[in-house]
Amino acid sequence: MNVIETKDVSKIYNPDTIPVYALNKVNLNFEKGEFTAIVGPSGSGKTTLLNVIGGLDDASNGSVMIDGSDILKLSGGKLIDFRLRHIGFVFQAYNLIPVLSAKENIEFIMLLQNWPTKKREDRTKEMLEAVGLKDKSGSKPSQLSGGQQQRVAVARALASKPRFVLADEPTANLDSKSAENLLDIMLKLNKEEHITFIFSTHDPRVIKRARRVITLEDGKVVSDIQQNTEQALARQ
Amino acid sequence: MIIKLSWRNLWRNRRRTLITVASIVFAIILANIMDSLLLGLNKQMVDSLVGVYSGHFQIQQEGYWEDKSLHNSFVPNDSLETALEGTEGIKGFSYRLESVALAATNKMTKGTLVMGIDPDKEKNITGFDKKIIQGNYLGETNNQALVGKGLAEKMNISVGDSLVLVGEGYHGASAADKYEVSGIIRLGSPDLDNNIVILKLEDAQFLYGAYDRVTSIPVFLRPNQPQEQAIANLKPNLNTDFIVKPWQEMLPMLTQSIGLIDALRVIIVVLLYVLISFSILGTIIMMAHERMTELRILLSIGMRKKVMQLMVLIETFFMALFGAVLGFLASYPIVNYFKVNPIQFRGKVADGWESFGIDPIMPTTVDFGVFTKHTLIILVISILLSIYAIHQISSLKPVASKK
Ligand SMILES: Nc1ncnc2c1ncn2[C@@H]1O[C@H](COP(=O)(O)OP(=O)(O)O)[C@@H](O)[C@H]1O
Ligand SMILES: [Mg+2]
Repeated sequence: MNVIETKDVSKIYNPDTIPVYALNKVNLNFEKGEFTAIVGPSGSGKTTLLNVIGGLDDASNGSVMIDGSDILKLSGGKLIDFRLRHIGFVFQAYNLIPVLSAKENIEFIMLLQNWPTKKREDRTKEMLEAVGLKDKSGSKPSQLSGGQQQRVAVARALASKPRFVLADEPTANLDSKSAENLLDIMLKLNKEEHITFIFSTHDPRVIKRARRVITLEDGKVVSDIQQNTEQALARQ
Repeated sequence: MIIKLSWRNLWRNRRRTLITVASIVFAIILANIMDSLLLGLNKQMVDSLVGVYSGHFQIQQEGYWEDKSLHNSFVPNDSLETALEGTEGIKGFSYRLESVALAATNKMTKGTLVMGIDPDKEKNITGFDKKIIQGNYLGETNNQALVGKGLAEKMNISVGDSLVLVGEGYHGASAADKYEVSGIIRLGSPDLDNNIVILKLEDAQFLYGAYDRVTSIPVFLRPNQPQEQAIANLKPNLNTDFIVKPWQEMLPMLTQSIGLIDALRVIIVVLLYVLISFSILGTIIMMAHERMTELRILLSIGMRKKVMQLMVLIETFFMALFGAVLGFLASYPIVNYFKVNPIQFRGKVADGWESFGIDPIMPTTVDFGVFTKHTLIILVISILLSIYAIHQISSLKPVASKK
């Protein structure tokens, strides 16, 4: 079953002067449980694609169908609510609310969704454990390392059980060990919770761990391959 | 949760928040002091002229105000007294016969204002007896006089001296008599103190041949009693020969000064508000701008704009409330200090004030209504100013457009 389906999605900047095709007729399907990397050189349209799929940015043409409805047709409060209910986000940096502790950051979306207290607290605990930060529950983001902050961001994105999680270069600001560690956690949650992950990256070691790799160039999909991660790892 | 977020956001930049709070506190204290001082000044002016001399209003014979001669005096009757006694809000009233006379000692002659009073009544209402600075108040014996402080100095009169008053009596009869100065009085209004000679009412009536007659009945109200209401209550019970003259008409200079001071008060306070608005606005602008990235992320992950707007509104409100409450509390002891220790003017300034008929001191009033007013205004201003941040949020997009 397709979770996301993009049809001829284009995004054109400066259409009147020197048009820039950030996305050029992108047609992609994403299925439940995928663990997919979007790769490509800088400026190839990775961020734009994730933003359009996530309803953070609009497209110039095409449609983005999520569960049969076109999110490009949603606007204002409806779109914000759609993001809140169905999509988890992890950004490259500044993900967390600085005045809230790790635990409170993870709880945040569930609070916005009005989860009952008990359920919310159990889930928060579960997520803190899943990302290995049980002992950092009360720490503020400024007291956490970059890797720990990103783990909290992943925990927050997943806590409310969205349909899929979008992550734009989640490891870009991390050293390789923290990056590996974050990937481990993402993979584990992908398997355990059966949540679709779509993330963009530069990092070859991260690319290797993805089961599907989509390559963009100048806003076009130039390759889309499934790879056997176990084999890829074994070859190392 | 929003309140918790707002509260914590406020303390992110502790120093800036404290500076803003401090400037609010400072502005409120200043506004309260200015307001209380100037209100105090007004009250002081009214008290020293109205409370002692004119009364809040006077009952006069129709025509007396235009022609202040003894021809327009009258004999107060019982029904008038009953009407006055039956009116709510009236603290008291007294009978006075006022006219002019030449006062002569063996060295000097000078035009004076003669006022016949009921010593016992004035004791209770205007407290003339407490304003004696030398000698004694009027007693049982006849032909005693009180002389205003300034007049006594000018004519070099002291207690025990004799004084001759010469004037024109009722119906053109000649009036002259001799008095013993029993005391020197200081009423607080230099205008009066430089000109007045006070006699017992019956002595004045005898001097002018105006038996049983008075020129005015000054009426004094209880504190905080609205003047209009008392007049309205009294009027229906009053004979049409009489008119009610409010002090505002009898003392037009005072009315004008009060209007002027009120205008000054408004200008100063508005100026303070403008200053404080800039301080609050600066903080709001900085708070909004340094948090744009964070607010975008909140928007991306699904926080509604309305909720974010509420959050920044609460932040501003907290800050203003904090400053306003502190300002309110801090104002009380300061304003009260100036009430107990009024600012005293000296030298030229003092002379200037005295020439207007006002004591050269400036006590404050301690009026919680004034405090509350400024506190509320600051709160309203800060809410209005947070419209800036609210507007910024309403045009916020989840993705920062890069250039
Ligand atoms: N706001 C914008 N205005 C104009 N051009 C933009 C804007 N945002 C992105 N672009 C252009 O769109 C293209 C794709 O950008 P982006 O999606 O950020 O690429 P990537 O994330 O792969 O580095 C680039 O050529 C970039 O310069
Ligand atoms: Mg990018």
